[in-house]
Amino acid sequence: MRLRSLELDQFRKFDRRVRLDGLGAGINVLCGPNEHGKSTLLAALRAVLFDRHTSRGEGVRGHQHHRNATAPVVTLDFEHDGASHRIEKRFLSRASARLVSAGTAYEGDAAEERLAQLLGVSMPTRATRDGAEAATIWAALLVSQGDGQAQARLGDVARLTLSECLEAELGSVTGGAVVARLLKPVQAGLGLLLDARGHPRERYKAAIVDHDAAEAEIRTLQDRRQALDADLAALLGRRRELAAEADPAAAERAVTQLLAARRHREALLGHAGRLQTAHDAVRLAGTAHDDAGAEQARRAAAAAELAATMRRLAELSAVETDARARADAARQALAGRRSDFDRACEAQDAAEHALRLAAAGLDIAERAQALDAVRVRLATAEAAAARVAERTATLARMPADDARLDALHAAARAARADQAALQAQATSVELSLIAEALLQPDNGAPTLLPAGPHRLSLSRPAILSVAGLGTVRIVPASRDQEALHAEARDSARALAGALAAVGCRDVAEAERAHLDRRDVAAGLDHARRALDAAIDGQRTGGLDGLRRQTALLEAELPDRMRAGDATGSADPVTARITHAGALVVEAACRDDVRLARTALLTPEADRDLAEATLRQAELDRSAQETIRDARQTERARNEAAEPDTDLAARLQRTTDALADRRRELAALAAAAPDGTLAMADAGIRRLEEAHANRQGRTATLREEIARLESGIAAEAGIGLDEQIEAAQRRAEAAAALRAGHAREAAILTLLRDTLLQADREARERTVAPLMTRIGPYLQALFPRAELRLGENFQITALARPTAEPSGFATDADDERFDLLSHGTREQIAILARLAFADMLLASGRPAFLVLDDALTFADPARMERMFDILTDAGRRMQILVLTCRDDIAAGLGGTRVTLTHI
Amino acid sequence: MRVVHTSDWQVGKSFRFADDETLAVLQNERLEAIGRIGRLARAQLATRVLVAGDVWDVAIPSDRTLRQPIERMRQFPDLHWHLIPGNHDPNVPGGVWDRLQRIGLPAHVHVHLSPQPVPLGMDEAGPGATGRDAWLLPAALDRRHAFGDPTACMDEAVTPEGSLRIGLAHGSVRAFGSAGTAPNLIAADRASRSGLDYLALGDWHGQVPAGPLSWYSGTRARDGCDGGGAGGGWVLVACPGRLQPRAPQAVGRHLWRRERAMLAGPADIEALEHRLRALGGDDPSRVLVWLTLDGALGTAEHARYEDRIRHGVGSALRALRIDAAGLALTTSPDDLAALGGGSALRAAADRLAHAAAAGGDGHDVAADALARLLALVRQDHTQAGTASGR
Repeated sequence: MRLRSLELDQFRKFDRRVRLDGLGAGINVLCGPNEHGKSTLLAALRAVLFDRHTSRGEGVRGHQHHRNATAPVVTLDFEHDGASHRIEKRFLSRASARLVSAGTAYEGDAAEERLAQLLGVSMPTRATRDGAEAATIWAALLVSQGDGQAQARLGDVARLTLSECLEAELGSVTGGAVVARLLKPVQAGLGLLLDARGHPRERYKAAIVDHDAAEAEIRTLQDRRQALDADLAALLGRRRELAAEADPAAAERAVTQLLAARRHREALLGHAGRLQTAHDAVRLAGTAHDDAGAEQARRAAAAAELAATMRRLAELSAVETDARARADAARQALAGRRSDFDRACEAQDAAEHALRLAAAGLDIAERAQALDAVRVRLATAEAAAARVAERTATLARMPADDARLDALHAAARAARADQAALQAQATSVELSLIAEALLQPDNGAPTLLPAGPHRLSLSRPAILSVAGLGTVRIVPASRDQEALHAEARDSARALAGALAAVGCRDVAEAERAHLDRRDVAAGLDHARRALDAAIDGQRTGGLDGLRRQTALLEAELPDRMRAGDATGSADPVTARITHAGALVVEAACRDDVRLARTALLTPEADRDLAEATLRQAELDRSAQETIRDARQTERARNEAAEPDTDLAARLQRTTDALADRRRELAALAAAAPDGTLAMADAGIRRLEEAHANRQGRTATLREEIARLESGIAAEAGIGLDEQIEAAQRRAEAAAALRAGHAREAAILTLLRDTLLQADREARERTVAPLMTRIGPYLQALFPRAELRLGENFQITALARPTAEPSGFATDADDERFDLLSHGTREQIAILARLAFADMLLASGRPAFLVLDDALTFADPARMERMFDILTDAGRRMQILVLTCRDDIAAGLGGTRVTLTHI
Repeated sequence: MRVVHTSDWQVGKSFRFADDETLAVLQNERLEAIGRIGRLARAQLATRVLVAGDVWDVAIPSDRTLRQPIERMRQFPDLHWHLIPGNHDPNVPGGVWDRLQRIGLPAHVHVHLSPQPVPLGMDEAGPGATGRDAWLLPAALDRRHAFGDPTACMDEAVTPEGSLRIGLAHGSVRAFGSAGTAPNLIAADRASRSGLDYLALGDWHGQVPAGPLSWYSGTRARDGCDGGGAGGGWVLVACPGRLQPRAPQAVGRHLWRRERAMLAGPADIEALEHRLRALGGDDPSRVLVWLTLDGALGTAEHARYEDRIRHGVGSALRALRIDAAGLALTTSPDDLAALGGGSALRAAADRLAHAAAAGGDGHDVAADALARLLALVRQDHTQAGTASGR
């Protein structure tokens, strides 16, 4: 279908006739500013195609010019199926419709009907006739200003149209409506069994609860049943026990046993008394026998002890004798040794005295020797001291010492130097005198020069008078002559002073005096050293010390000699030998004393031992004598009391009596009843306790039996077994019901899921051709992207490739359509409209696309691609683009059309 | 001497397959039968009723259940009722017999808890009286499962010379036992061994001979569709010492049947319905059926089966218990073809059919889901047809 021209009169803003002409196949662009009337053109197109001319509805009334309210007229020329058609509609006042289709004219409703037929839409009914287009696919193709970015909202008719197109391609029907109808009861049934989360509800839930409750009740009842069984078993046991306890024969037996036990105890008690008596008799006889035996034994022991004492006394006497002899011998030996010792002591005293004398002699001799030595040294020192004094005096008279001589030498050198300086400045005059001449220096003494050659050196003016010849004044040409002469005079004076100090006339003499003085000094030195050697330096306190020492020694020696009882004549060597001999003698004497003392010890010890032995023996003898006396007294007393013969007779009697009592006891013991009293008591206690226990147990058992019977009767009365049976029956019924619900839920769930899956797959199959149509457009705009289509051909999401390694979009990457940018939504919506138009054309239906101010949000790059897409689509369909933007008009190319006023 | 020999009343038995209403009827029937036995005894001129154990179903029934059969027997003071414990109601301490002793029994109701022979009096009344002194030799179970022959004591039981010796016991006869190790085993030749003229046995619910002069009376009211022997609902009217010692008499009201059917098509369903409806004559409420089904039905036939058998016959009978594990639900190509090709519906049906045919876990669920889907489609078509017709 291709539009050729559109003409409007009195339509909305146009109060005059305007015409859009020259529409070609493919893209047509009407570019004009705002208020140009582009949207009005689209409204007119809709009106002429879809509004019934007879309509007076609000929409149609809106077509009127807002001021003059005249009847709007729209005329459209178009081609379809190779034929030309012209439709003209006049609305409201004198409304009319006229269609000239392929040379045939239709008027009024016939025109409307024919037009609908051409457009592939059904005749709008009265109810829906206003805006009939809104419900058809045409709504998707005629895009008003501002609708561009929204998806086309397809009504039932439009969907049907698309579905028909799709089914025409697929050759099948989806049956989606049937599935939806069938799903209703399935989901309703399922809703009665399961909640939204798939959990049982209502009847199903109740069945589960009932089943669980029944099972729990069974468990409770079975527990009670087990408890009842246990109670029954306990009752049986208690009854058996009670029967045994309450048995009269057993009670009788118990009484008999108790009586017998008591009688047995009596017998045991009687026998025990008799046995005790016999034991006592045996003990008494034994005591008497033991007394007699003991007395006899005691006497025998006393006799033996007396004999032993006597023996001991004899032994002690011998010991005493021996000890005394040994003591005497020791004492004698001791007396001899002591005189030896005294002698040795005396000898030692003498030796010590001799040693002291020898020592004193030695001391005196040595002191005398020292005195002699000191005297010699003193004489030497005295002589040396005299020499020192003499030489010191000599030296004091000799001034040419080293310092003075050094000063003299210095003065002599200075004088020579000054003189040399003068000579250096002096004027040299060589004369050869034939006669003598007198040379008179200024301020100097005249010098007479003999004839002959002379060589004069004048340092100051001088007058040479030659007699006869006159005088010649010679003036040296030197400067500072006077100063030099002054210096020379000073140095000469200094030299004279120095010579005076040493008392010499010239330097040579001074040097000789100096050498003489040196010799004297050397002698003094020698003398001093001799003195020092004699007095031995400072140790002896000098010469005076030596004198004092000598005096001291001289004073001491006579005292010593007197004290030492010595002659003082002995020489030191002899005295030393004498002293050594005295030392040896003294040591020998000391050894002798030690030996004598040692020799004293042995006899002393012997004596002490013998004396101790003697004392001990005396003590022992005294003790033994006491014992002996006591024993003898005792024997006499015993014999007086009971002679030994009587005692022997008594012992024999008691022995016999004891044998008799023992025999009696043995006979009685052999006749003892069985068991012990303790055992008999225990047996009686046991029987008595058993009796008491039996009575207590019987009472307890009766109580327990009563309690058990009452409990059992109560439990049995309600019929536990019957209740268990009933509960099991209920549980089975509930289980069956539960299983039935579960199965029903499984069946319905499977059915629902299967239907939904089949429907979904069918739906996916049906939208596939649409996706195929959109695909190329989409790839041009969004490479590798995919669209997700939902119900009613609505685009739900855009999936664009991500940076995933696979590079393919996944569901997770889906971007919801309504969250996409305005521009993207607008572009995708246009792609979808292009695809719808493609599908319509492919199924032989009329289609063209009108875009009023679309592409308002596209950026330049997208805009270019959209131009390409539209251009490509324009090869298959007519597209009318209404825009206010010159850039779109320029970029899109196609046929430029204009609105012209007629 | 004529006696009525009965056993295994099992008063208070619970039937798990039954709904509450049926259960009440069946339990009440157990008591009603006691009256019928009493009336039968009177009619047969029998003075004594021997109940060979298992009067109660459980060892510990409720007081009401305990008293109910006693109260029924109380209504027949002219008859002597002789009861012994069975394996369901053994004589244990605190058990039913202790409780009965505490409650107190009517003078004409005799409970035998020890093997002591009991004189029954001279067999001198009634047709064919032997004129002999009759003695009852009871064997009482004092536990549910007693090891050893509970009737062994009958060998030693001393009765006057020439007496009629009538044994009364509860247990399995060895000859019918599985491996000779079951409890409460009774020697098959007990009657001859112990010189009995008649051994009245209980435990087996079918009325069968257990050896020479030994009989199981069978339960007087059946309690299952697969009871052994000759079935239940009977008592024996016995004349110990006679040549023909017994005559079975029906006292049961309900007809318990075990039925089996193969269903392959509508005709089978029709036939089965006819067969089941014919079972109870003019009173199908007497009939309890345990029906086992085999075969395969298409969805339409299956719906028909559900309608006619499960719901229809099920409502007519006292109880209809169906085991349909062997009945397969098949989907015919027509069923699927009716869905058209290529549609979502067809795809869903194909998927379910595939799952159902594949076997394994959930295949039966898939089959049912498919049947449900086809039923829904039919319903949808019907509604669509109705809508278009309107």
